[in-house]
Amino acid sequence: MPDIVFFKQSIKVFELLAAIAGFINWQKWKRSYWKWFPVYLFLLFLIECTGHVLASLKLYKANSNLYNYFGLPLEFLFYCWFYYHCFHKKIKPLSIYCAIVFIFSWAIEVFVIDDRSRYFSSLSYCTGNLIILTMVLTYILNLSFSNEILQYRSNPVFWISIGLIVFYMGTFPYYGLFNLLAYKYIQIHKMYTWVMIFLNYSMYLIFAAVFIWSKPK
Amino acid sequence: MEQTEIIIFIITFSIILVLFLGAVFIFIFQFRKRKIMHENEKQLLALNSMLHGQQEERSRMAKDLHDGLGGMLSGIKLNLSSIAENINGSEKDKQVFAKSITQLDNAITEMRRVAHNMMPEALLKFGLTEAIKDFCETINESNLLKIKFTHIGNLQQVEQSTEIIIYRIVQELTNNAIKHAQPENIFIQLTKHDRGIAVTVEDDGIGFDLLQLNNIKGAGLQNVQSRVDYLKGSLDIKTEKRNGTSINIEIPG
Repeated sequence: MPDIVFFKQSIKVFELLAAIAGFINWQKWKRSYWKWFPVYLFLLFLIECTGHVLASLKLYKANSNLYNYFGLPLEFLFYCWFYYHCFHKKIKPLSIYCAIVFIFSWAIEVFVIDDRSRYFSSLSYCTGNLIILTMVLTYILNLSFSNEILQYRSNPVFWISIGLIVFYMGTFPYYGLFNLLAYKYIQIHKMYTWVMIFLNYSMYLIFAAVFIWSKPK
Repeated sequence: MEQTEIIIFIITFSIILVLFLGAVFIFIFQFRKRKIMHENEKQLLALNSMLHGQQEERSRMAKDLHDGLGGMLSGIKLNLSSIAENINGSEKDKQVFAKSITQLDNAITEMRRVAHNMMPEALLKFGLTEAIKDFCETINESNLLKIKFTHIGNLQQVEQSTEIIIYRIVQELTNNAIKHAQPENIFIQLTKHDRGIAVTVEDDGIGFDLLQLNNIKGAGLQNVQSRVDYLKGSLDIKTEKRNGTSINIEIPG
């Protein structure tokens, strides 16, 4: 049986690869809002590395706080910001509403629930997951009803959306039921972790491919 | 509590999955639909340019023939006619000279006919109904068959570019009927109504088998179809062997 920890840690490498692909093609993206995407990926990589160091120093509380107070909000609010720029004028407010919903759920989890027995912030993550899926599906539907659909192959947002949908839809049950699976259904959790790892790889590889082969519109 | 949590998740995930599959279906459906629409638009644009270019070119050539070559030939005929009396040759030479003038006259008539076919003057000067009337009269003069033309409604407001295309359609359908159907009578009707223009060309000829339409669809009928497509209209053919043919065209506008 291959070592799951190694593969789990390798997710960082894929994050870094995607970020590097973005930085290498910086010239192509620097004049648009896309330039912040590799920066975001690099930040994510740094957070993961910091988390790894904190965990190895057995500073579990600090590690949990790092993700709950910084990692999760950064991840979901970034995608709200990103889709705000991708959306057409008419549907731009949707990303603002999504951000508000996420902040609200995050605040409830941090300030109201604050269940220390729970290892993973399921509520805010699930809300974030749902708002990302909402934005991605809205984008794809909006694209379907416009003539831009004819050039979907060269549309970088379309491919980013595919990457996001692959990961966030695939891992929705995993993170949504994380606490339950991790404590009571360990075997299922272990198997699903493999799926989660490969979905992570897929998403970051798609991101890297977008940075390399696509062009901003 | 645990069970409720699982049930909520299954329901939520199922909803997401259904929405996702719905989005995929819509995406594929819309992509195919828009691709076909785009192809059609491209074809229509190409057809538009082709027809426009063809009309421009015909118009220019007709004008050049009529005003340029026609004028020159008429001038030559006038000059030759003025010296006809003063020819000092044999009787045979005089006959050859007179015959040449007659041939020149025929050449001028033929040239005018060609120019007229390219872009009928009546169409540009007096409009569609007069041009079709003129066209029918020319055929009726041949006494080979009888063409009846009627028009209903005000056709004065039709755009000139549309007029030219409708004229060409009528011309093509009539020529087709004369060439292939051996009719004794042809009936042409133009109707301007609230929803657009209706064109009907009927004949009492030998008709044809509609099932064979794709096999016999020559350049003539294809040209008519292209022009009808260009005007975003529809073409309906009713025919039976030995029972004549009726072609109805509806042009929105």
